Amino acid sequence: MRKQLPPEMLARDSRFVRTSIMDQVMDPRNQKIGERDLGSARLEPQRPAAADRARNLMHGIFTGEIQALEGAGRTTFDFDDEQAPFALKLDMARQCWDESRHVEISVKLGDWMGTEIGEYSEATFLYEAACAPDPILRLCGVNRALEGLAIDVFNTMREFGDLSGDPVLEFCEDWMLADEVTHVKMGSDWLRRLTADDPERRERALDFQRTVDKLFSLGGFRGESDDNPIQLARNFRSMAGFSTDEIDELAEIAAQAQADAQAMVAGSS
Amino acid sequence: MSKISLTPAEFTLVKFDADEVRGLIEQTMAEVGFPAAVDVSVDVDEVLPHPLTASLVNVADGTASLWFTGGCFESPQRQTGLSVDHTRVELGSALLRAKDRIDGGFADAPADEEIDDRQRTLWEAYAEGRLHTLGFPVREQRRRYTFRLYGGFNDVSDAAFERLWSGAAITWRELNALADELAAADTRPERKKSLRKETLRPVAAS
Repeated sequence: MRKQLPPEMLARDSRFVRTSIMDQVMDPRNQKIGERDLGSARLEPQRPAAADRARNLMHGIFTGEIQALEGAGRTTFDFDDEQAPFALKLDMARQCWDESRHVEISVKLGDWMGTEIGEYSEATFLYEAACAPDPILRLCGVNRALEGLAIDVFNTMREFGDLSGDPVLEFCEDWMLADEVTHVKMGSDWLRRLTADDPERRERALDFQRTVDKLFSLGGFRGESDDNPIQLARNFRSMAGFSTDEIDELAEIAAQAQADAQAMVAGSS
Repeated sequence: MSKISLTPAEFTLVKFDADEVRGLIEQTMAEVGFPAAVDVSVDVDEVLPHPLTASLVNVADGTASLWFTGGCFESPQRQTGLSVDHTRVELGSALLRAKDRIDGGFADAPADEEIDDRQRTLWEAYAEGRLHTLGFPVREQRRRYTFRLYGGFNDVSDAAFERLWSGAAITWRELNALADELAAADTRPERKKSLRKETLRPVAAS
């Protein structure tokens, strides 16, 4: 079996349509939308188009879970026991089990919300972050950055379920959120263990995490203001082993990503 | 014979073919039995992408004015591309609501901007239920979820949905009474009852 599987080789059936981040960045509407005052961007039931926005995000969660499964699965296989201890691979295998369950839950939530598998295009940049050649970079990029984002997303969806009085959505998101906290903590613990005697490697890994965090803040997608659809979940991140300084730094990264996007819009107008 | 107008005349931000959209408007008008004496003006705000979906319908001076976000017609799989199915359903639903205002017992309904989310979601379920009967590619569960979001996740709301989805004729007054029943059965705290005040439509364009 091939090691280091590239994103274009991920297996998908004909229902799935892939998109690239460039399609989103180069969309000519971006600048015009930036000029509009559309009010708060938070995902809340009273916001216009809340149902379609929630469905869209839920499908994004679904494809994200598939890619998280694929990423954790690759980490159990891509490295020998010297590169990645067997106990780490066992943790990744256990995460695969969680992600498989999340995929199933997400499919059923899609059914509940009236969404079909493949209805929305799929971007693979989550999996791309799981292709780093160093297992520690993967743990930082996937478990700490992306699973951390999953904490923020699940918490936002859980709150949406609570605000709308949807017992199914709130319950399912709460369960998946609990798993994500353990995945992030797993990443934090292994980062400390494997780099205890190698501060340079730890810094490289944290740098990679910052890069992924900035990429996934996607020009204001995640943050702490009304302009951000996904809200930074400080409490749950703290439970997952993030220090207050690390959360503050992430908030700054998110704010910077948003400022960069606004500057880009202003510069092109 | 109705006159049809489409704004913009050509799309520049999205890859919609204006002639194809005009053809879909004409086809959908025929499919829903839209009155031939009423002109139709369709305004698409191509800046707003999927999933920012919203539409407004008003009838005045012999013209039905329909406003849509571009997201209503956009394919969620192909950014900036047209989805024929979504376009047919959105047009069909809006045309039926316009037809309701003209000859379907909704003449006394307030302007779209003034009706609340619950009333709106009831009306849309009534329209999509009829589209379903006509063979349009509507998705019942998608509409049911939106209905529950604004009508409540409870048995009274589900029963109301079934009634409306059946397409049995209803007037604005009856629909309003149904909305009151849903409000009475909705045990969510007031903040969860979600009465929308915001709109995606730019103020200058309204």
